[in-house]
Amino acid sequence: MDLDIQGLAAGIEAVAQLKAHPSGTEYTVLGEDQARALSAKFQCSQLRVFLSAMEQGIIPKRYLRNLESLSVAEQHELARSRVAIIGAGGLGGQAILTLARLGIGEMVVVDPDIFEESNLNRQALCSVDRLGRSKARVAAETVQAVNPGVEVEAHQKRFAPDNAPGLLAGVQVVVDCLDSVEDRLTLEQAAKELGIPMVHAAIDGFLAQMMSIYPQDSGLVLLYGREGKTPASPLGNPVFAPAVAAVFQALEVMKILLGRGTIIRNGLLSLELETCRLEHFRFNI
Amino acid sequence: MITVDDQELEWFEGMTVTDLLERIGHQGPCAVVRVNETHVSRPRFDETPVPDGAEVYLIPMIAGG
Repeated sequence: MDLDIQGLAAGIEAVAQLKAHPSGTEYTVLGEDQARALSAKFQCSQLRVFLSAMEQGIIPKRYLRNLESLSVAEQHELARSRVAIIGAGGLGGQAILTLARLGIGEMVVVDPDIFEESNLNRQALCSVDRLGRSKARVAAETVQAVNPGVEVEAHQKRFAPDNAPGLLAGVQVVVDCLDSVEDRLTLEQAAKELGIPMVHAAIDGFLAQMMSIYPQDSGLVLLYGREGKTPASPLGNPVFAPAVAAVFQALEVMKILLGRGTIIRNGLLSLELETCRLEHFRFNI
Repeated sequence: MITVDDQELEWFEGMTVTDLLERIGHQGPCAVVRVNETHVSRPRFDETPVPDGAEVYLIPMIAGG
């Protein structure tokens, strides 16, 4: 059945209400219950309802507190975006949750693994009742519960050169949440061939790092050299580093999509959390 | 004399970042070395000189996720 676009727009306008932002500005907002009801009535996704609302300058109420930092037009742009997160473990779980709350419209989540007890100390999507379940499928379910205005395509498979074009089709930014240099190089190669910016992060102990790599950039060779071997990880992975690094990755995704802020290119954001050291290295390429 | 992560180390003429890492026998690989205010990425370790009196900091290579 074709979507009644005009009917949906009129339905949104009929139930939208004025709501004051803490700044004092009044915005016209669409509540979560109303959005769900319109989604059922017009047999379309809640994302479609949100997009239609924002096309009229009406902000879904869940995004009201994003405003003044983001504009309605920027929130609309995020909802029109498609982002791939490769890896749904320590980095990926937190990145997925953050991007869902931010309001990215479509996500592709790729991870071949299931949750294990050793993930419970740090992985935001892991809980006792989810042990043994697919990380990618749990990610999709959790995002749906947090924000039904996000559509998630979950793939329980390993990212590889032969499936890259399909998995990254239509994607504007890919987020590297993998845990080996070899797999990261595979992802970087695919992203470069497809012309997609990649946001890399890695962790070890209290250390975290993040950099964005555009197709024409040198990228991971600056960090891992031409050897491309995964170093030993002697420091373990307490919860802090993946959480912090993933939030920086999500922020970088937002900046790339909206073309604002400082993007860490041809350089590295390096953090040592225990000593509160944060540095932005700029490489003389 | 130079300092590496705040520890003093004897300097020699022609010292490169690679020489320095070999001399201290750094336990794990480095992704970045900061020499004074210059950030040196891994592919440039062989060719980058370390001047006398330099303050050097090592950033370990990490890859966990």
